[in-house]
Amino acid sequence: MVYTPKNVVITGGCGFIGSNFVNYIHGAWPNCNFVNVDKLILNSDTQNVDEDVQNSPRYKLALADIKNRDAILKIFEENETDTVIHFAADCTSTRCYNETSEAVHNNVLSFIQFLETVRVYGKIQRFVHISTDEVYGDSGLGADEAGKVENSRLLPGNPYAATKIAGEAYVSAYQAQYNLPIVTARMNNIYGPNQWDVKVVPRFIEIAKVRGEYTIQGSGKQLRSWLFVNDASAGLKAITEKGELGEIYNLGTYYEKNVADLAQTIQQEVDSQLGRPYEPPRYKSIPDRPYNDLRYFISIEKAKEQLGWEPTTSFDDGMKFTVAQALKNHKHVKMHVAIYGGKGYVGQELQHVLKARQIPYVLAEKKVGFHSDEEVQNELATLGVTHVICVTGRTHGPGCNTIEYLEGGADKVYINVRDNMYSATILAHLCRNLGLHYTYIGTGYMFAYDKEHPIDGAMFKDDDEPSFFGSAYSVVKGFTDRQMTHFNQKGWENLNVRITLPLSLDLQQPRNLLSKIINYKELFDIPVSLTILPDCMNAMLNLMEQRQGGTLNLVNPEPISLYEVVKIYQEKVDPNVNPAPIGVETERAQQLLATKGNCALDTDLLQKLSPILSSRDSLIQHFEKMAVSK
Amino acid sequence: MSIVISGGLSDFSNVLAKQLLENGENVVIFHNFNASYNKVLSSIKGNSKLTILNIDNINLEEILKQFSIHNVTRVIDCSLVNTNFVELDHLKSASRLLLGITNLLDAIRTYGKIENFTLVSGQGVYGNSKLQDETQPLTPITFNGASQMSVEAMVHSYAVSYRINTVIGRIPNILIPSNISKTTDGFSNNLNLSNAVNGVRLLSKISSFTFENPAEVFNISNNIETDGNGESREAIFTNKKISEKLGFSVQSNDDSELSNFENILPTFLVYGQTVEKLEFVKLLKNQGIPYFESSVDLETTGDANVKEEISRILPSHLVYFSSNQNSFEGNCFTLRSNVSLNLYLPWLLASISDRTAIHFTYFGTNPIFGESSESPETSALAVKTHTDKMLSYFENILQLRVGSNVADSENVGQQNVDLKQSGTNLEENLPNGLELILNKSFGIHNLVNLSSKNAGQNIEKRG
Repeated sequence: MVYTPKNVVITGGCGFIGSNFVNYIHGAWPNCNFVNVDKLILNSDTQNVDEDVQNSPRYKLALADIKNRDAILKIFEENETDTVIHFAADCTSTRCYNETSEAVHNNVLSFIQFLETVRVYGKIQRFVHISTDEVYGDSGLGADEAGKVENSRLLPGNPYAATKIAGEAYVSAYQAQYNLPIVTARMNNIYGPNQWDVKVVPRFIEIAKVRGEYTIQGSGKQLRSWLFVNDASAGLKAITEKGELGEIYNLGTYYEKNVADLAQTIQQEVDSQLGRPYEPPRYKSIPDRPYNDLRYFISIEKAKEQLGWEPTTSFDDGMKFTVAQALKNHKHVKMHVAIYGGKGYVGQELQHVLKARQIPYVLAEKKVGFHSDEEVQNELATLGVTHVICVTGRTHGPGCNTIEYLEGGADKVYINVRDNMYSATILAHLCRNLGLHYTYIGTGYMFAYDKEHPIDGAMFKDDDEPSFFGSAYSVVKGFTDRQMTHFNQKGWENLNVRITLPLSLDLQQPRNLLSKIINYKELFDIPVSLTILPDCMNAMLNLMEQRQGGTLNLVNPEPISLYEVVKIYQEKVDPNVNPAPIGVETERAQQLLATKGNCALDTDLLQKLSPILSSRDSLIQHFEKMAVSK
Repeated sequence: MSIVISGGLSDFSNVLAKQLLENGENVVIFHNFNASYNKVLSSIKGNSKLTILNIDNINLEEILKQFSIHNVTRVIDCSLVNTNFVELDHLKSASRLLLGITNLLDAIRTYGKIENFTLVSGQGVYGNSKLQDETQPLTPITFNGASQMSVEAMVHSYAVSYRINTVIGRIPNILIPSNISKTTDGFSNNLNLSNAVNGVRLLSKISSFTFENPAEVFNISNNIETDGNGESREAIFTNKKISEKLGFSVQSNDDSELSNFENILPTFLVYGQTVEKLEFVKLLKNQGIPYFESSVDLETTGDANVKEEISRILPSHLVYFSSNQNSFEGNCFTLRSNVSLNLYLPWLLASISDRTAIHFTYFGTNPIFGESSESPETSALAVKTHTDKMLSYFENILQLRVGSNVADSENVGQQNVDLKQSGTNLEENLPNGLELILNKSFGIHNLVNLSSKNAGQNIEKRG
């Protein structure tokens, strides 16, 4: 009997295989409605879905983690979902090797929660679980090696495969305990459009375009099967319609090629499509990953016999299509951001940068500490975002334009803790629970020049603990910074950026450091780290797109004195400004050094992750542009 | 050189430790004091070659440290033994077991000197399979079986990826004939402890592996299976492989020594300077429970000092007494002390507890629990009004709320009370608190003598 799906949820439908399946199945099931549930991890991109599908009334995108029970239940209920095709997984071997606990979280623990939600919902007729041929472990290289069949022993050779086996173990238990209607597909190595460029085919296409050197792990003789993604999609369609509940089906191909030969095919195809003569590839061997499985060779006889499916696209045709797609220009949307505290000075600057980069964002309406935590969570769980930025913070208030506002009695302490700690840390918890990337824009105003960190000497590192307690603001922000360490565990998607003396180019903005200091008659000539907002916000967004975590000094390299800043401004933009310097040796400067938390923050880590210009070079560039537009 | 038994004390690990000690080995047991099993065989208690440490499998840093200190060369993981809790909450248990094994494996590969890692798994991986030899595909039907299959998969992948000499033993539910171990046709495979331990010891002695067989699996089982009607049959959960390869055989020895145990005591690390703390320490002393009083400066300490002290003492329980000092009015330096004592320190301990699975109890003091006021009376309250809420984001901590210390003794231990109207007779209530702590309870509980006024505050109770 053929099963006919009506309302289908596809998880991970913005990833490589998922998006190709969405693009394929939208036409193949013309009477179905689709909801694509994705949290855009790794290289997932909403634009991997074809534009005509995106515009179809039968397609919806819902950004959520599969472990987000409330969001998933709402999607199921609202769409009367009867079918689930589950692709979502953390599927890069490097990440699974380096951050295995996180892979366990994503591929096993979140998946069990998802199965639990499916059970609670109770109206799923068919659930197709996507697994991998890597669960079988290696095959021998010999010509007489038999392909692994579905009831072969599972002998995983890497942590990714282990997490997928764990997923299958719980599928087995849920089937037995609750009779959940699950069919499992174990799929071969797949290639096609939309693949992340850390994977071999897109990486080789990029190399081929520039006729570069092919880096190959180990010997390059590892045999891989190459299944074209549309053939895989047809196989999944067949499994959904005809697969027997509780069964497992291998979907693969008997076509194999080693990695070195693959390079040659790709170079030929790219050269051909670019209309230039073929040049044979040059190879460079790099160290292998801890254990690189030699070959995954699976039997597809069961799918052939029981589903009537087998691959129909030749490798050459599949590669021709893949290369053609890769050579086109693509629009990318890899994140959708919610901002807390987006109306302040830094928040507004952030919005400018988001707009310029065409990154969709929304300002959260609920305020942490003002609304109940439950209200905040309910809003966040259903906002449909992938990333959260917290720019909340209290630096001033009625009657006082500086952080002096926070000095005082119990009422000020309350406001200080609520706005400078509670809001940031609660959001970090909520994002962790909901599977969202979180960025907290904190401060570097928790450090001050001291004996170990003198002017022009050692700078404060990203992992230094706050050491300046000279203001109520610094004290509370310092503890918040230390709390962020909890969320910076290996693989957690929590970014704690420290900004200091944020400067923008918007002279209409009264809180902008630049608009203030160009009017000062005297300025300290003491080098300090600056956060030049356009540069630093762009770097921060780059890191968010890569889903980086950790604590980071987000300032331009090479400290500069405010006096120097204005001197450059004078030279490039307005010769009429003319401040006098207050030298470091003066009493006022010494007083400043003893009581204020401005100093030099180390930027080695930032420069490694997302380099930006030094303060001086950046200012020169920005001021020159400013002068032109004036 | 030492052997580590990870995954905690159980009848199985007790017998295993005994046999290893009898063989002259140094044994280190990683045991995380828990609510159900904290005892050690009298015959090995006090043995100079036995060390029992409060370490959970997720505590990677501490495991690594102890591997070096004790020059560990072999590890036998028993975390899958006695996992009846799995069926009760398969989501939480999956997290505990899988993250636990992943951290243990990361410690093993980082340390690099383990010559044999043996995982004790179970028959549950086979589900209702009619054939249960080691070459069969796994089809678990219970969550217990699913967790065993998952842990085995992770262990196998590390054995292949990092060339860790690994072997897996699958045992039946030893001497506990239960529904879980029975196959659908009613037969179960029962093996006594000594035999199961013998099998595991044979595996843990294997020291060289050919790379064709990483994480080789051996069933350790009885030759026969029985049902409730006295019928028996040749075991389908067969021990043929271990018998032929390693000379395993089922002996007729008994487990009678399992009646002679001595309790293992918890170790407390206590923070704070309040009256409640002094009374609590007195109670610990009276009950003979070992404790340490923290010597870190709670107002100014950095995170490293706190962590170092915990690592040095290796407590099973952290207990923090919130300050009831109200004089935190003043400048930014006073604020630093205020936030550190009243919010950050307990929060840091909750975070450490989250990463190490050391149980953490926070004793909060009247009168601002769960309330939010924008105009608190004192700076101390302005901070503490956030503390309860922030701590509640950590699932595995116990919050005990104490009212003003009074001699009133009516209605001890009530849950639904208005704390503003209530006092706590410490002498009567602290033992209740201690019981919750020793049971490793979680959630929020009041320790008060109920007054008749305004009862009815909702208190969340977990664990």
